[in-house]
Amino acid sequence: MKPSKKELRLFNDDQSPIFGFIILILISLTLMGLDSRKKIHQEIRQKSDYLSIPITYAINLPKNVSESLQQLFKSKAQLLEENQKLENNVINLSIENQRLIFIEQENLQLRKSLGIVNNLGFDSIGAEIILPKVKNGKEIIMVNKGLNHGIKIGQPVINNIGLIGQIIFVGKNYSEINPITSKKYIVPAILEKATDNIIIRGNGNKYLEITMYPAHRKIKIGDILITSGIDSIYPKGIKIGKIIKITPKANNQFNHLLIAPFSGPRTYSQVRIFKGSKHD
Amino acid sequence: MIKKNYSKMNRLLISCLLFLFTLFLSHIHIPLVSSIGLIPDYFLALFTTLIATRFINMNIYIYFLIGLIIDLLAGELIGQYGLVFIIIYFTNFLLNKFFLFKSPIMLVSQHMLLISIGLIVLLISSLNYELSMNFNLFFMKWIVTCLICLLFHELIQYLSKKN
Repeated sequence: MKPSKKELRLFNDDQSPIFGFIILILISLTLMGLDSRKKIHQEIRQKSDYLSIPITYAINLPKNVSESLQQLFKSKAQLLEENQKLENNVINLSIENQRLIFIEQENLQLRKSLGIVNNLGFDSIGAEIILPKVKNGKEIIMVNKGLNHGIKIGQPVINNIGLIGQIIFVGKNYSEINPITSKKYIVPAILEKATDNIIIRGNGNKYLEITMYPAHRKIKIGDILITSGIDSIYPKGIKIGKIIKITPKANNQFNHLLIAPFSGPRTYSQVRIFKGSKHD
Repeated sequence: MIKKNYSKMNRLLISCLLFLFTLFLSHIHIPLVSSIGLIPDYFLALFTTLIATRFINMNIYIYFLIGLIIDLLAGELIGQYGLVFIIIYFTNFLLNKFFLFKSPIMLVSQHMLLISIGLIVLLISSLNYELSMNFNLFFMKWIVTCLICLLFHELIQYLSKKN
């Protein structure tokens, strides 16, 4: 007996999805192209912000509960010790502040006499880092301030140790920061003791790098890099990191510099977001 | 007939729970994993298993929609996971047309092949794509994702038998 055509299809009786496959390939390529050019992803995510709130809440829940329990069961002796430490810090900072006020006044008078515009003033807002620190295999820093607090995409983020990153997404009450070690991160910088303008980028693995630095320029391990401020995004003089490795390139005309950032991902819990120049 | 529908509902519910669990996993940084590049792609692992085992009988359009939802919740580009899922679905369809996956070795090979295709498509369509990428790290990520995929496979097999 001759088998029918249908019986010859041995392992898969499903209808061929070739038509749907081609249509969906075209749709997804169009969507990806549109998204990379028009950034529709950002807009849709901002509008569907409420979808990610339960996830953020669930991830932060254990941390919040443990913190509340710690606060609840803190003994009086611990609180007194903490209070003492904070008072000492306040005294040290007020002494430092007096010195800085004097320097600021001196700086102001010198700027007046030389006729230089003061462009160092920046408005900033404090924020606390919340979880998650990873999103689908990509490192992010999330903070508890968003659109409702006047945060915008592109604003730089720092703390008392140095530069942390830049805002890449803003929800209503939270924002995502691209850390300086991310591959997508680039910042214009200068050496603390020189005037060469350099572009630094994250290497995606805890460090920053300068891929082609002229070999004839004097540079040594331990040199500190700060923001140059020429981009008008980052205020001038924020510490970025220090050089930890200099590797000559194959042609000996350039060096590859590896930079360790001052602010590592576990060195802070509070940050400051720069909202722009006071003169804007 | 009623029993069959009940089983289908159960499978759908299990898949939803696994999806939520994966969504939660994708937002957690395991302290033992030092490099961020070593974190497996949990969504790819889960949906490769769901597509390969045909745990829930869904068509290519629904997988595409799920891909878009993942892009919205955890992706970097709209359409990226949608593209990956439809390519995996179609590859799996072609594989099943010519091979009968019965033995454990064949099943493992099937999953590994689908994961490889998924990771390569994700890499090519990534916004961070570079020619000078770290292939060792990519290879490690492939191994970890394959392991997670096999774990999901075992879990789904266990749940299927229980059902």
